[in-house]
Amino acid sequence: MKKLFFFLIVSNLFFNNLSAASFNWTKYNITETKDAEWFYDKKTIFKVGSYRFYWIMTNYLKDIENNVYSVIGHHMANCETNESKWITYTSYNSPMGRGSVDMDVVIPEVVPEDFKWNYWDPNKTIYGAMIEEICNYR
Amino acid sequence: MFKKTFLIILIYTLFSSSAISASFNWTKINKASDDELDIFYDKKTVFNIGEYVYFWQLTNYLKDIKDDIHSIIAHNIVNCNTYELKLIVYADFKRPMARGMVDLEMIIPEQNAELFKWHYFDKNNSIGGPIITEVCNN
Repeated sequence: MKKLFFFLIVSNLFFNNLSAASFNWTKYNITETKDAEWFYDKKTIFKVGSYRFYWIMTNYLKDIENNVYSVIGHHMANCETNESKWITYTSYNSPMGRGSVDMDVVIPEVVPEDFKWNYWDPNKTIYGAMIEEICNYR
Repeated sequence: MFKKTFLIILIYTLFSSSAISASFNWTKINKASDDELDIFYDKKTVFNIGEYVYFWQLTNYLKDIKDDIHSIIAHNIVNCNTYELKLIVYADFKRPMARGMVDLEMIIPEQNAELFKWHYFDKNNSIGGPIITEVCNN
């Protein structure tokens, strides 16, 4: 019993300190057509000023194009309007953000015209509903 | 007694891993701090994605306070190979340690594309050098 207790304490300390920079994805949902699944990392959700900032991952399950199996991005959301702006886009040739990087873009740097607010309907889109969930974190 | 303590710690561990997802945990960068300002970063927010490293930073002003700004939170992109840094998000506060209300917030590329540029920092002779070294070695 004491050993288990000691193990839990040590693993907790280890997890909180040493593996600080690894993602811990929470699966949000899968599209109706089952071609993509959406994840976010709740430990990366920060409310700074008017906006929420968070990291997301999309895993493509079928109809793979250009050998892109997954995408990781840093996004920001306006919780009042359910709009988001995508800050980064990095695609990978393996699922779950593994393998080689295919494309790595800081969106406002490379395609500033795409760095704009987009509304996502929470009732009609998975991403819109995911923004709502992200906005419910304190 | 031991069982009760164990149960409390176990519940706290499970609870804290989900409920404290949105709070910063600042670590001071001693080499970048002086008697005028302290600089912190959150290790949990340091992510190496593709070509760049991303992290949240806190600057705490200790003297020569201007415009009643006591602290700033920023989200940065770093190119570890060139020792360049780019600011994406800026929010300043009228209290230390980013407490109280946000005074001014800016999404830099949204506000002014001219300001959204790479800044080179000398590794040893600049305030940004030790910050970049710290996050790139994280």
